[in-house]
Amino acid sequence: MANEKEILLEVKNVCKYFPVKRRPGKFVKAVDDVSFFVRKGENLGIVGESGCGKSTLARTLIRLYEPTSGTIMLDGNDISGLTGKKLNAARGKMQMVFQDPYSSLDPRMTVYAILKEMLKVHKICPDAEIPEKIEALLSMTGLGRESASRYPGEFSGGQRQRICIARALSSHPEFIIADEPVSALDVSIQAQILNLLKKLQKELNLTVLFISHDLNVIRYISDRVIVMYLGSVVEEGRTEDVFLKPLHPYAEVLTKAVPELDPKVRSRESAIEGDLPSPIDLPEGCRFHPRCKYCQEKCRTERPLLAETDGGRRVACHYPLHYQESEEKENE
Amino acid sequence: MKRTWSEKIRRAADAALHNKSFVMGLVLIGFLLIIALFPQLFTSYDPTKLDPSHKMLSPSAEHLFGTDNYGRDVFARCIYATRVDLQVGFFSAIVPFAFGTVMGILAGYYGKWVDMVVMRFLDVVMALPFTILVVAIMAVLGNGIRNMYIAIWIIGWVTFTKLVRAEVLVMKNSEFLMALRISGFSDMRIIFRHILPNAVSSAIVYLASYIVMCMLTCASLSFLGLGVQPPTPEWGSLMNDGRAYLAQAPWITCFPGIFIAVAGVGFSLLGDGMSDFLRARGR
Repeated sequence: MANEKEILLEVKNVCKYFPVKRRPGKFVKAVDDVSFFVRKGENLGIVGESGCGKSTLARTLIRLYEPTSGTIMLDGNDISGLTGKKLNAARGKMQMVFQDPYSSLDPRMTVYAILKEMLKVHKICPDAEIPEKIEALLSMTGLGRESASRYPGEFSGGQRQRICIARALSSHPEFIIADEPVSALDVSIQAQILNLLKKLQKELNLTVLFISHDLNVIRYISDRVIVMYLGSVVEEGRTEDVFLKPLHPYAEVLTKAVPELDPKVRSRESAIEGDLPSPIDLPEGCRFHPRCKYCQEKCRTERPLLAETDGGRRVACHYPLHYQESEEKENE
Repeated sequence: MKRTWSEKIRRAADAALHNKSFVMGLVLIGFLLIIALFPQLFTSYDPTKLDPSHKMLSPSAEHLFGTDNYGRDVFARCIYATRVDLQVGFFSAIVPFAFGTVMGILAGYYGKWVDMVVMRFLDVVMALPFTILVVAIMAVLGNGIRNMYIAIWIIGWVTFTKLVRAEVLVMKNSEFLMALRISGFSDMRIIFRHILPNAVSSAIVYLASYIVMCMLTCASLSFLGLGVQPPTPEWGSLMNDGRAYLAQAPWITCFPGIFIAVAGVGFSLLGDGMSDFLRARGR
């Protein structure tokens, strides 16, 4: 069963605060005390509106940013304190695909040169096998062998994202972070890239952390999902569970906010009210309370902790939705 | 599959030769280079030989640009000056280009105190006008072409640094650099294999116009008597020589001026063209 699978990445109490220049002593709490784990071969989705700290979390995990506190365990090794060569070696095991395929490739290098550099730096194969290996990477990601001699500027967005994926795979990583990999692409191309990621994950037994603000995408690709709000995890559970029966009011709002295709069914009823509060002066009590329609007195003063509920789900809410009914059912 | 060097060069040359202003600039500068390398092909006169019996002759078939107040052939002096002027332009520009680019990359990439130190030096130099600062430094060091180089080197790097630093800063916050860093590449590899080639193109473009500026600075310094010392021919000093006789013998001043203008236009066109095809590639 899924629960028995080995844990590949374990994140414990990771925080990333950015100091505010104009207000000394104040911090933007972009990621605040986040803990979760990813099992081997699993696809974990992270969802939340823009500014909730998804990308900061991803960049902290891969050590583009220094974590303010907390530990990041990859395959049993703590990588939160690594520096220099050790960190560079660890990065071979962990790769990232970025949102913007237009800016994340060196415009002055051919696809061949881009891949060759990765293979050489991480000593993946002997020099003589490099052309073969590059051909394999290209066909794996659905690019023709003739693309090797071309520059990134000669490709379309979807093809460039394929190049980015090929580059990410070239160091034989076990773990891939995909930071909004399809949000810059046309809808028709999105599906192709998602299917490619799904296929590669299966074939290479990859573990993927998939970040997106698009719930449909997450629902399609992820086994489990984490919902983030203002730098913290508010809900965690199997994707279908969270979508069908969200426990946290924010998760409910998110799932209902997915636009309907049929304009007659559309309504603004479920639209979220108010703006995201400033991550510098976080609201007291539950961070979601100013926008929560179920808000009660306790929510304004006391911050709910992320607590385990039935079925391996976690939620940070004093009064989780659907919770009472499931309890009632048990009592019957 | 793999792109060979010859193919790379062929592609680059292809892009360059389709650029009109680059080709025109190349032709003008190429012509000046030939003159500089083989001046004796163009004139049989000795540029420094005095001939008082033929002084201030107006342009004729024998003396194409006329002669100056000592009877020296103006055409020969202009031709021989080409070598001096191209040398001056090249040597005084190349050092600030190299040093400035490196400083710009270091300041932009490492930020923090490195950036602080470099930028404060830059502020000091930038606070004063270029030519005045060169003159001031030369007043301390003394006259002569070597001291002029030193003066321009001390000051010239700042513009390159500013330019390259700005490019690096833009790159620093892009996914481009993040992708490089998570690829597990060392700092040195990132700087020299990726940042340098991408940041240097604007500096190369500026280099073309900076060469012109150095040549003009040299001309004006020589005009003031600070730079190239007589009797070495140099366009600026040639113009200075003719200044007193502007009314009687305008050719002494005008023809070296035309040479300066040709060199200036040539390098500007070259830089213009390069900015088109160096930056257009890729993005």
